[in-house]
Amino acid sequence: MNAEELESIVRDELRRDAANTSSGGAVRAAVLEAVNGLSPVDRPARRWVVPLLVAAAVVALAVAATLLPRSFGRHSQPAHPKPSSLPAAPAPVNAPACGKGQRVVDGTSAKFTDVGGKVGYAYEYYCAEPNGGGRGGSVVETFRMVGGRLVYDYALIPSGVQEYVMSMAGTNGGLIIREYDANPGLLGHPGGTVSDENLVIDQDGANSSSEVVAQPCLATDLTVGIVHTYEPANHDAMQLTNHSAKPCAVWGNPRYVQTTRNGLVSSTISVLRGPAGGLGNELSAPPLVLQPGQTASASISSVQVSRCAVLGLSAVLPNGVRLGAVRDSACIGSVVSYPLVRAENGSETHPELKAPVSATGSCLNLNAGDLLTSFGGRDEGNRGRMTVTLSSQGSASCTITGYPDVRVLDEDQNLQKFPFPAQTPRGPLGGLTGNRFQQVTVSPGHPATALVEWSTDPADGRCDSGGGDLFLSLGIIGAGSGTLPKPTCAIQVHPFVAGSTGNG
Amino acid sequence: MKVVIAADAHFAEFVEQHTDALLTTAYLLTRDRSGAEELLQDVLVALYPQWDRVVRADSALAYVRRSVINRYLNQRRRRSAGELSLASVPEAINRPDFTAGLADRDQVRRALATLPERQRAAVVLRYFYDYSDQQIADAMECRIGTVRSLISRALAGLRAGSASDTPSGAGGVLR
Repeated sequence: MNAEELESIVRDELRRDAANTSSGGAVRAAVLEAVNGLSPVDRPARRWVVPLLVAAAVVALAVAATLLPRSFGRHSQPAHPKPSSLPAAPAPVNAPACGKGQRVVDGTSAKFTDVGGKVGYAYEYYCAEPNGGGRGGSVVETFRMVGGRLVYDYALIPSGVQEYVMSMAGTNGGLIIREYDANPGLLGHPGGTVSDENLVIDQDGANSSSEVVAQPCLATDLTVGIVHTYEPANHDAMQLTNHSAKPCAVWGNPRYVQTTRNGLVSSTISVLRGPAGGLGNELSAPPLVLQPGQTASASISSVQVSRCAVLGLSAVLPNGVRLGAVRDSACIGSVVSYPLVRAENGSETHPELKAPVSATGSCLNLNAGDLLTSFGGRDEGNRGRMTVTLSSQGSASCTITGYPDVRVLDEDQNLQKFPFPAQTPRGPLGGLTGNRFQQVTVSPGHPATALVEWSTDPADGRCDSGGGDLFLSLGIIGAGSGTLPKPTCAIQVHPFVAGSTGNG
Repeated sequence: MKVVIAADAHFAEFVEQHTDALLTTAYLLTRDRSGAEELLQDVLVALYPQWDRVVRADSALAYVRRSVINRYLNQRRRRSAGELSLASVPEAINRPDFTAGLADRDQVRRALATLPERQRAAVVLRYFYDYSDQQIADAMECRIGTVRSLISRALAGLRAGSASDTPSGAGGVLR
C-alpha cells in the first residue's frame, strides 16, 4: 500500500466514524441546563474583564504600543469633544473589526476612580459609517496613566457586542455607563433597550448592576406625524411622540417604504446629515430616550423625483418596529432618510427656533401715529420678497419680538389655504442670522424689519396658482398688502430683526 | 453588565449551531459516543464563564475545537492510559498477520482505533478537517515539527501495525 492509498483509507475511515456520531440534542440541552443552573457567583461577573495575569502581559505590549507614534491612522479624531481634564483617546488596543465603508472612531470617554482610589480612563471606540449612518457595537477599554502616558489596562466591553454606549460618567468607585442594546430581543421583540450599568471597579476588575432606563418604543407607544418645515431647507419631518406613560427609546435612520399604483416600492437612502438637516458633527446617530410626551423627529427629503404616483409612505424603525402609513399620499421619488434627532424639524444644525407666532412687545401698544409702518417688495430671480418696517416717529421708543401676522387672500379677500405662510427664522433671502430670537428696540433712527419671501418655482413646494394678495397685519398699528406673482410657492415669514433689511 | 447578557446570547446561539460539529470532533477523538458527549459538555460548561474570550477569538468554532482537543489530551494524560472510555474494546493488533502489513481497510480501521491520543488528534485534524501543519500546531498547542512527527509516526504505525506500541502522549516529545 502506498502513502496515497493509506491516506485515502484513513480519510474514508474517519468519515465513516464521523457518521456514527450521536445527535447533539442531548448535549445542547445538558449544556444549557448546566450553565443556567449556575448561580451568579458561579457565573463570574468579572468574566469580561481580562484576568490580571493576561492583563499584565498585555500592559507590557501596550506600553510599547503607546510609546509608538500613531502612524496607522486606524481611527479618527474624537467625534465628541472630550472634557479638558481627559487626555486624548489613545489608539484602541483591540479595535473592533469594521465592515465595508466603516472606520473606527472614538466615542465618549470618562475618568474614574476605582474603589482602591486608583484613577482610570475609559474610552469608547466603535465602527462608524459616516455616509450611511450605520455603526457597530461599542468597545470600551480602560487605561491608566503611567509616566505621563496612558497604558492599556483591560477591556470593559470587548469587541463583538452590539451595544451602543450613550454616555459614561465616573463615580466614586467606578463608572456608570448608559447603553443602547441593539441586539434583537427574545421572542421577536425589537432590540433597543436602554440601561444604566453601574460598575464598581477594583483591582481585579469590575462588578456591575444594571437598571433598565427605557424599553424600545413600540408602534403603540408612538404618535406619528409628518410636518412641513423650512429649516434649513424646505422639507418634511416625521415626528414620533411618546404618548405612553413610560419612557421609551428610538435610534437611527427610519426606513421608508413607498407604495405606488403598480405596487413598486422605491428605495430609501440613509444619510446622517444633508440639506434637510440631520446631525451636527456626530459620526453616528445618538439613541434617544423619549420621556412621556417627548418627540423625536427625522427629516425626510427626496432625490430623483421621476413620478408622482406614490399612494402612501410607511415607515419602519431600524430595530424593525413598523410604524405603518405615515402619509396617505406623496410625491416623493427616492426617499432620503435622516436620523431621529431631538429637534422638531429634524435638524440639529438648524433647529427650528421658537418665537411668538404673532409679534409681541410695547410697539403694539403705541398709536399708529407714533410708528411708521412701511411695506415694500421686490423680486430676485425665482424668489420674491416683501418687508415690513417699523420706524419710530418723534421720540417714541418701544420693543417688538416675533413674527408679523401674514396671510394670503384671494381677489375677494378670502383667506387662501395655500400657500400657507410658514414662520421660519431665516430663508434664502435673509432673516434671523443668529440662533436666538431678538427683542428689537425701535427708536428714532433704529427701525425693526421683518422679511417675507417666497418662491416662484413649483418645485419648492405647494403653490397658489391663482395669485392673490399678501396681507400683513401688525395689530392696531397697521396693515399692508402687496400683489403676489403667479405662481407663489412656499411663503416664509421671518421675525423682526434690527435694521431696515430684515436680515440681521 | 449587558455584555454578559450578550455573551449569554452568543453562547446559546453557538451551542445551537455548532454542537453537532463539535460532537463529531469529540467522537473522532474518543471513538465513544458517551465519552464524546461528556467531553464536549465539559468543555462548553468550562468555557462558559469566560465566553467573552471565545467571542473575541478570530473563529469561535476553532477556539472551542481547540479546547476540545486539549481537554481530550489532558484527560487522557491524567488517566495514564489506565482507563480508556471506548465503546468497544479494541482488538489486539500484535497478531502475526497484522505485522505483515495493513493490506485492507479493516486493518487500517482497527489500527486507527489504537493510535495514541496525540497521534490520533493530529490525524483527525489532518485527514478529516484538512488542517495545515500550522493549523494543527495551533490547535494542539505544539510546534509544527511535533505535528509532522506525530503524523509521520501515526502513518508509520498504521502501515506497520505498531501504532499501539507508542506510549500515550509520547508524540509530544518535541513540544
